Amino acid sequence: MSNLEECAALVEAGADIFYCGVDFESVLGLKDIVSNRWPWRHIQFGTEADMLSAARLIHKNKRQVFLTLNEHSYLPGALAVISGWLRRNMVFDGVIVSDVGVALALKREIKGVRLVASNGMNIFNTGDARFFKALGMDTQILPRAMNIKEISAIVKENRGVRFEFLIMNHDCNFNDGMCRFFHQIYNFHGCHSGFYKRGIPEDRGDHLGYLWELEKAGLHSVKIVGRIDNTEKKLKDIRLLTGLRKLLRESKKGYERGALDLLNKYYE
Amino acid sequence: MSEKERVLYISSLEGLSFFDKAVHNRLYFGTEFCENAFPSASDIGRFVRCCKERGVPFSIVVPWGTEKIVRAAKKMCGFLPGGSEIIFNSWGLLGLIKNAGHIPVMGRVLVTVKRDPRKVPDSHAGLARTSNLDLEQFRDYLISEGIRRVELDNVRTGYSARLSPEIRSSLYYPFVSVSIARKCGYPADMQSSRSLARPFTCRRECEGAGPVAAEIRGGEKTVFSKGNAIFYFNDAIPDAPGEMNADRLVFMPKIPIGA
Repeated sequence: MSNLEECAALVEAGADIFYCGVDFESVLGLKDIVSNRWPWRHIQFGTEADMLSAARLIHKNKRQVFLTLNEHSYLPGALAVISGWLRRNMVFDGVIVSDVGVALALKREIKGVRLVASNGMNIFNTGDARFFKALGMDTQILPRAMNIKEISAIVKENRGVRFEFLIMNHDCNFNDGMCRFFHQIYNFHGCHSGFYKRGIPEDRGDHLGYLWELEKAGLHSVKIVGRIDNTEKKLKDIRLLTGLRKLLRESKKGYERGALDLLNKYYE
Repeated sequence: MSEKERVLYISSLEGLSFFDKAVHNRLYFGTEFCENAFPSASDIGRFVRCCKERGVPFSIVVPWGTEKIVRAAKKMCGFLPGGSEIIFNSWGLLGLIKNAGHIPVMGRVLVTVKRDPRKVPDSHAGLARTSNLDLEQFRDYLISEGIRRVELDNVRTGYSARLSPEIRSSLYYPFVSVSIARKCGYPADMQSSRSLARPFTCRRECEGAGPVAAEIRGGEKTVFSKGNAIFYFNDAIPDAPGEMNADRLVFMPKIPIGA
């Protein structure tokens, strides 16, 4: 979610969990400090009032909202300001982080804060998941480039952790969370270099075909990457996923038949 | 940096040909970037024997990765001499290394500094030098976990963190890692593989393949791609790496993937 205006419609469309960012420059006066790895200001909440209204609306509808604080690093002074602000405005159900240091700093500053391990934490094996569980992260977002067998093993070995997976993505070869190009400054990165255009399949929507298997693997939730998309696209994606979720009660064959119909309905 | 170790970092046994006892006083072996390019247990065993014969201390570099690397690391921890230095790039391996009685070192993949080769405007200069090492809570955590060394890319921007005396660092040159992915540029079946169903087939195509150069738009800097990662070149050692307690210089004769 990127603004208050679209919030009610997204709730209505069936989204259970919301992720948002905050423009720390307009809200806290922190120049050049972005809240997450999608640094563009127009997709962050620009005022505290809008953010609070959105959180109220989401909670009123018994849904959850998380703040993305998942840049890989923050200036220590800025992080202290953000922590202080969060302590006073903890309207979020949790904070999504990409770095062990940021997680430790927030834990120390904000008593009882619920932390979610972003896919930027690179949880590729059962040991990684155990490590972040031990740090108190009861929700973990798995990297996109994993297969069902690997996902299933991690979920099985780490009972008590909620695992999430990014199911509709934007095309980038380096979307596992290990890209260190400076997105705040330049628009062109390794993903635009042409190195990887020759054989990497685009993964926008590709993982949708595996929702049935992901559910059987024990995954708790799936996430649409799309804060930068327009509201119309977000609504379409959520309606599609909501429809697919209902089909999960069917047999695999039934699911596949129904899923094709739904895909054709929303994306001809 | 007067008192320093000069390290040769290689990814295959053939790399031993770069070793010069008059120059190098430690050897690194392995890779941070790809579990498929991690040396076999038998190659690691041979490497350790070579180091013993030459009387040179060594460290093993273990990449981030899936269960495959956990299994490989577990096996390796079992046969390495007790107290061997192991550089980990996956947090999930920390406990394994410690429990096996080896010395854990935090690898450069886990350092969160930006590594963009292009010019950073003054407005973002501070942020460009910032990493998890700037956070006191993180440095305290490293010490509490027995991690007394961190590995650093020789980024053009440098680092703003000042490490406490208990933590030393190693500076890697001349290849600075920028971006890493699980998806690799080489396998032919990457075109048809849908990664959720099965992983692509790695045939270690990177072995013997040279890096490919390209210009990155915005600053027009050259970067190099090999396998699943992108690098830039920086062989200018900063005047005062001692600010980061850097007492090791780690030289890579080749990009450490399938080299």
